[in-house]
Amino acid sequence: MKQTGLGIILYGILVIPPVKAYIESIMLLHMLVQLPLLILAGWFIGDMLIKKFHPFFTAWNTDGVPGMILVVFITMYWMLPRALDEAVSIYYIELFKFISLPFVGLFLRDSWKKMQTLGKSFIFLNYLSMFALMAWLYIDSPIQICNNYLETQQKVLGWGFLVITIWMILYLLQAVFTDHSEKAE
Amino acid sequence: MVTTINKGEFKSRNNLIATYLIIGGLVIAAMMVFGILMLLAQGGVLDLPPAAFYQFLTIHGTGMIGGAALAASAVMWYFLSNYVELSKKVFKLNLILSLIGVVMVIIGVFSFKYASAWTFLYPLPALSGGAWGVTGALLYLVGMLILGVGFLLLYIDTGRAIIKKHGSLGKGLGWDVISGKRAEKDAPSPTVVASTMVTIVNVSALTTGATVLIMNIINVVNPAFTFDPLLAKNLTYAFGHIFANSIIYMGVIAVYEILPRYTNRPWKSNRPFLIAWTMSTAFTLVIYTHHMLMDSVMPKWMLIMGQVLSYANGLPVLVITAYGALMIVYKSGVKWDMASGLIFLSMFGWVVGVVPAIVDATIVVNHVMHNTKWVPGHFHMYMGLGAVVMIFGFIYYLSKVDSSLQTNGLDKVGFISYTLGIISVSVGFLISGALSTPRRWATHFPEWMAPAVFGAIGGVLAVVGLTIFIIHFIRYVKVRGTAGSDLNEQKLA
Amino acid sequence: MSKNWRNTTAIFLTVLLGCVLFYAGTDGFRAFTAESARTYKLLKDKPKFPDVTLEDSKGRVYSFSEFEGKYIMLTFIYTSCSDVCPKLEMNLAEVYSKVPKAWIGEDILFLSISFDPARDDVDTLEKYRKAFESDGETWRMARIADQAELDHLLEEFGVIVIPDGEGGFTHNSAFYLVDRKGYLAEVMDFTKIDEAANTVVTTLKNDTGE
Repeated sequence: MKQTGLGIILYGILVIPPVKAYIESIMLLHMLVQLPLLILAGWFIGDMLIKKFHPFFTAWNTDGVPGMILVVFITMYWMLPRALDEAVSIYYIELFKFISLPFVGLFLRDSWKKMQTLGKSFIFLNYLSMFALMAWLYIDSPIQICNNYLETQQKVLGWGFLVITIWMILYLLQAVFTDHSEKAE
Repeated sequence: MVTTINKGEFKSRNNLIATYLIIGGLVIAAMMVFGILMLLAQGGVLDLPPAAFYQFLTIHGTGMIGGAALAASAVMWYFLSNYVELSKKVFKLNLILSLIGVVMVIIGVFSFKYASAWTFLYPLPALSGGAWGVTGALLYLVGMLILGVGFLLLYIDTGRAIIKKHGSLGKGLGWDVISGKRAEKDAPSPTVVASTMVTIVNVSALTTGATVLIMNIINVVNPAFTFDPLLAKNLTYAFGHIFANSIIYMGVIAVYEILPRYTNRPWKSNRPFLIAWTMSTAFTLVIYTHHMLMDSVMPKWMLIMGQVLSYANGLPVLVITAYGALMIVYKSGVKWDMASGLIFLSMFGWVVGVVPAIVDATIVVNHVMHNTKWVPGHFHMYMGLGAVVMIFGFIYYLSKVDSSLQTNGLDKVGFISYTLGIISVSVGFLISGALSTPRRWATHFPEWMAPAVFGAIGGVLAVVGLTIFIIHFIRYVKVRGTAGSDLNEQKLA
Repeated sequence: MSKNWRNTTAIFLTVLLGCVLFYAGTDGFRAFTAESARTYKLLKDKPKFPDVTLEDSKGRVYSFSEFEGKYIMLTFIYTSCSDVCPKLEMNLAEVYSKVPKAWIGEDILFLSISFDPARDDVDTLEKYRKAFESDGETWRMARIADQAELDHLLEEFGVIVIPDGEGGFTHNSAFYLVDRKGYLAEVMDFTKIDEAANTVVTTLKNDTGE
């Protein structure tokens, strides 16, 4: 319950027009702060919703795969340079952003704990290579990819992605090289 | 461990293993035929249009790596599943995804004329000069991506299983034994060590590969998105080199498992053995730079590292394995048959196949040699006489322990024919290389033709040998299970 | 499997939904950036060039409708631009040189329009013209003095201009080909000179019936 309140507050802050306008004026904040925070808000709100609609989630998202597919598609959509651009210039895309991403958080919360190690590892590695690619694309691109953002901002975003990628690699390394035998035995 | 597997489970597992091996074997045989056709074309015997030559070149490389990796992963899975609990569902899924990928690759290459070699070096897929269109490139790249997804799932599963049993991948490599925290007698078995190494390097390779493949797909769909070609080449070879290399490290598990059963002497993971494997794990990940020795824009330290570590790359495992194999066989009264013979041959092929590679990894030589047929000479010997022979050895081993099928004189003919064939192919390439014949050229000057024809004849011998192996294996599949189970292994010694 | 039919159905539905999202979001897998979406939309809509008043480097003032009956090859620039514009204009010069002489002036005119009328006065445009060795007749440099007219044109042709705060602009660039009646016919990648020249020549060839 406490989490749900937190989620609603977070969401409320994000939709305040000056906050929204400021975040969206900087590409890095838009992609790597606003979008993840919207997902986080959905994750928190999901605390109550998942409990309340437990039968629905159990029936339709039994093994977590359908939810995860939605998560993957929606996040991939928001990685298209075009989506980011249009969110700024077209109102219904902006609306879609504020609706779809909290749902990502909600489904992620429900699916992640249901999925097996294999699926989770695969998803993790998938995002690892996707983020690496985004870093490469944005740092390296000789052209301005988004019409609403300058090339220099694009580069900053690329470095942001690179930091995330490196962080994910470090996380992966510690996960496979630290001892898990106590838990198993 | 073996005895706890019930018979039904055992049978269905071997079913899947046999499917993997048959597909792998048939793909390798088909690719050999393409190889022969290419050599004949270069030798001036066959009139092949250059466009077709490059399609053959593309499918030959892709198919050989794919087929061999598929078969080798079956070898790894067969033995590793004796030590850790692997998911058969994932193993099956990999087969299905691989087949889908292969079909897409074949359609892309033959129906849509995609021909930028299996290394799909950026920006070739998008830049064909009109030889192929977007569809061909996409079919090929997406096909490779699906193949990669299958293998990635397989290695996630092996990694998961190893961590579950041994605690971590570090322990799977026996680091606690190296550091002295654990006694040598409790060390993970050679199979687990090798599988851990392959898991680590291939998960890295496939994740990198996915990045490069999707990058190429973006570039094909939208050519306005360009990428740094040098970084692309780095990543492409990091992927290609590691994945191709891993085949021999999966295959070598057959050596570790089969020779002890023939000699009744266990193959122990002692400290030097574990150190060797850890070193090869690290080296395999970083030495792909020897593919870049001609790129003068690369940072010098990377190239020097590539050269130095290339010498060192395979050597730790090669030396420890070759030495171990000799020790285990020495005065053991081993019974030589097809399986043990092929396994021993593979060790020989591995050792001699590395020599030309070491020559090529020297920067000075590399500038002159790397674009000649010297390099195919190296990897045909290394793969043809080393890696895939381990797989063939396993085929004969499996048919021996899992059926009452006997080998006959024909199999011996196959053995000799295959060995001589691959040696001829490799020697043909090496001579061509010494004559400065460029590699990947559809047409040759007359003075370059003779070794190509010689190689083609060798190729025919190899195909004859391989066909005999496959016939034997298909005969086994028909009578499978007649000798009971792995329990029959006692009869080997 | 049967007790899990909902989960299985959900998998199919979510995959389908995802594909629909991507199909709709990229104009049927055609446009992955706002720029390509813009080009795609422009080519579908084929807007008419608004009748604006131009002032060229020779100081002549005339309306765009005077060009009716000729193809116009367009670029949008500003002269104090130091990165894209010079490249854009150099490439335009190359396309110019690749179009057969017989058509130039008769069937096609080249035109570079400045969207920085405050600084790009007649003298500045004249200097810029000389720098690219345009003749000022068959390849003209012009500004649109009226800001409202300029904004309307930029809007119609989807040119997004962002002031960078240091006196410069960031803007998207392309070659535009306007047909004899004043409608947009092609939008071309300005980095692909041969391709653009080819498109222009083919269009003219089909049109003049040669």
